[in-house]
Amino acid sequence: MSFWEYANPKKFIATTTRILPWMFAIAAVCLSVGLVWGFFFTPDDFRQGSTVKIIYLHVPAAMMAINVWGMMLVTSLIWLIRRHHVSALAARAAAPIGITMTLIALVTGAIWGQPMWGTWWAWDPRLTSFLILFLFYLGYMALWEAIDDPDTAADLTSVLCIVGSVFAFLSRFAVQFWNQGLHQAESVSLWEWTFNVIARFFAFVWNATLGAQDVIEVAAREENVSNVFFVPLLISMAGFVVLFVALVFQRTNTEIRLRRIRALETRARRG
Amino acid sequence: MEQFSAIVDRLSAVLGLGKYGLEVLSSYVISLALLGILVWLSARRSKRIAAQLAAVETRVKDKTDG
Repeated sequence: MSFWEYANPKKFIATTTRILPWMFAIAAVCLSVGLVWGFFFTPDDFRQGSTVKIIYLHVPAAMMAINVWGMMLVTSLIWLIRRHHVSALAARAAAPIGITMTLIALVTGAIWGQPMWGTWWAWDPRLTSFLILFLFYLGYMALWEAIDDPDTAADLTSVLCIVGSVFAFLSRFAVQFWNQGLHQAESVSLWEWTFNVIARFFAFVWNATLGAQDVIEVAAREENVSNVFFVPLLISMAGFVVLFVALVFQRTNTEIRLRRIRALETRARRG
Repeated sequence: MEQFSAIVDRLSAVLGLGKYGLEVLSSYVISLALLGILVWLSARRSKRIAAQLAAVETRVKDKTDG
């Protein structure tokens, strides 16, 4: 079975419709556990007080804002190279989710920033690149709506997506190479964390030079976020990811059906 | 406005949010509302378009059958 089979709209709809209820259920469970745990069962930070609880929404939303654009970049490239309609429609379907995540990140960031930094907004590299990303999402969605021919719209929005990727990646890495502004360094480096856990796990399984305790210690290694906040944050992030995938599947199915309606109506008009 | 502040203060006290109750609560309310609206709109549009497609397909089939 090939991945490209899912470029067939019927196959895509049939498969995603089967798994959609499960995905929404998993997202609801992860979000409920992560947010309830974070809100009710974690202590206040010694410096930030209860505002630290905003992290369970702000960090996952910011992570998704960037990664959704990354997903749109991949599907746009697939459209430009292989001309699969489903991939162009998936990019279109993802944009409203991405803009919502960006808006959540911007709003919660401003609300969090006011008591901690003494200002709602600063022209800090990360904040500014996020605002530009938000504007790119707006422009991307407007461009889809502005062009009647769906293939031309897919072509132009794909090019816009490639251009906008500069700002998406800038938003992602701004805190690492732009050592200025108010925003702190990244809270969680999931890549590093995942790599460490996997590496230690295989070392433990194959060499037996490490004890199980080592694997657990790495898994629970404190990043820039204390472990007390890290575990519910990780669950909340998982909830955001699964919710995004479920919504993209659902919205892509809708776009495919809309395209089919237009095709049938055009055929009927031509007689 | 005073009533709103009183409600927020009472909620903050109950939830143990201290002096930042308004900030934390408003972040949660706004974010969950945005996510809820997104899910609701997506589900509503999905249902509407699926029904529309079924109607168009029936119409086309009826036309083809004679």
